[in-house]
Amino acid sequence: MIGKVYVEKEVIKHPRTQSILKRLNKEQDFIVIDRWGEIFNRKNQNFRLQKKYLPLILARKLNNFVLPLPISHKREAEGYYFSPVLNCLFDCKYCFLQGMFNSAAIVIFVNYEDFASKIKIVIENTSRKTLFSASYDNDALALEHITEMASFFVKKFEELPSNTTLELRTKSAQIKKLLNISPPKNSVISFSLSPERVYRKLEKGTANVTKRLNAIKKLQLAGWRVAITLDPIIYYAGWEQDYKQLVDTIVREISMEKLDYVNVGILRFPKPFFKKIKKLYPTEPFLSFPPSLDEYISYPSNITKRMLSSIQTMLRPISRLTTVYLNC
Amino acid sequence: MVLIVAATYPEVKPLIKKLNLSRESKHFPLFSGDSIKVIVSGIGGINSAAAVGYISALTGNNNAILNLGISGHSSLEVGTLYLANKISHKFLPLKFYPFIPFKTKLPETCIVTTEQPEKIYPSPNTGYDMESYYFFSAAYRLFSLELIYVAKVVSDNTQNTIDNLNTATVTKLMEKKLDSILELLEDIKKIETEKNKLRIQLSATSKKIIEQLSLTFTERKILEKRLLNIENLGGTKLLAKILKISQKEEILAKLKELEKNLFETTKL
Repeated sequence: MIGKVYVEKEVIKHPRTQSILKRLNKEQDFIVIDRWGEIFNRKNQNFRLQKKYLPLILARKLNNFVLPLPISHKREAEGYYFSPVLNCLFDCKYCFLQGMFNSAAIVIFVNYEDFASKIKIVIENTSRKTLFSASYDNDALALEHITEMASFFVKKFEELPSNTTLELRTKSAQIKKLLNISPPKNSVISFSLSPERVYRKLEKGTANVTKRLNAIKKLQLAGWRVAITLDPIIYYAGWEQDYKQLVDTIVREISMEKLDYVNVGILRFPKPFFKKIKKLYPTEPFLSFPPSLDEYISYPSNITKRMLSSIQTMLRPISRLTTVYLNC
Repeated sequence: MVLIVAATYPEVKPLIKKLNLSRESKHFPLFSGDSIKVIVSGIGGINSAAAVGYISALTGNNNAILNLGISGHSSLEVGTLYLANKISHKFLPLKFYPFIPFKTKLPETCIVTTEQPEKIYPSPNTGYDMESYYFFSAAYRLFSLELIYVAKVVSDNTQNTIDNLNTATVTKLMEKKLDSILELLEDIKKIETEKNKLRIQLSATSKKIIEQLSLTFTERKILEKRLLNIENLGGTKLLAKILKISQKEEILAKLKELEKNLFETTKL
């Protein structure tokens, strides 16, 4: 639920600010701030309490528009990410944003055009294939009815060379606005899927698995490029059967030949993020594992090895038909 | 517990009486009940910040803290109780934005702290006081943002000047808003309770295991985490068996194994 809205003085008159405020019915009901960091970056904030009454900040991004993707996300293409939106409407218990940011406030940088011009510069300076993720710090479609962020960038990427791809990841089924656009060549919508049990226990506010699968089918039918993300895969007694069942459903329901790729990854966190998330969920059994002592916190190595082996076996029907990227 | 910082006694007199709080005079006049403490700081920012530090040291920083009192206001009528949603100082650059994680019928406006009583009320829809900026600056170093609040009853505005105020009128204004203040305190208590659910205590058995071992600081921290994991995974009863072992190495090895085995069979 969106609570208070804060608007940077500098962007009050920006047309995108005005249309977002109108959609939220908050045209007269917002608090003027100087800079978004005044709220977002301060310490001593509680992510969990803020999720109940989500603040939303409308701001202007001034720098660091496009950044390289972390090594664990690299593919054959040069990987970059850009974040016109920070944070998410959903409340997934494993979400690493809880460990990354001090605040749960959703920040929308209304100067999308500046992101687009910086992306263009990056592309002009490389001859390699490029991949741009717009959802490293958010869910790309969860707030589409308010932000129109995905629609904007999908259209922008159509003007860019064909060896450039935009990836939009989501756990929502908000595809209405996308279906109004003719299917683009340069954009891929990647749906994160989890077994029903994981969805019910850990993915509060997201669309259920059936809805996500239906959204995939509709987009594929309309000619959109679609990918699937199975990341993070969560360990628990019975995980293997649940994920196997999910893979079977995917193979049965989705046209594999038309699927762009599948991203797979086991639950993992940078160490400081895990520490913060554990404080937010101190009694959660799924986070109560003896942590590995690596830079990235994940399950003990014996569990990880077993999981990787099982995942490779269960994904065989998929990997025969499309590319599978293992992010670990 | 909700800690209330007020500049003067007349601003909290009706609340103290209503809740039958008992006086514990130390460096500041302090009034205590089961779940509320009221401290009277004295007028001005430095007094208010000092009171925040003092009461925090006395009671810990896991409580909620509220600055309650009177203020001037450029738009609201005298007698209106409101919450501050933006706090600034007339001459200082920093600003604070209280996070109010509950629905309230109370109006919310910004408030500006001044060093002298404000008699012109220059900005629209703005409150004016002499403490809230300093109160919030100090509280923000010690308390979680979601547990720091500023609530004021309008005592003066362009139609009713501050010169007409005296201790009796201040008490009367606060008394009239007592029910709304009590409702606000209930809302704050709920949030404080929710926040404190995140503070987990180890079971008595786990504490005994820690006590019986001679551990370095790091070993202790690792063991606390391991014991919490075991408890989260439903192994609290199994810990009783560990208590019977006397060798430190054996205890630590058994706990490591128990944690691993419990996690491998844990359900979602």
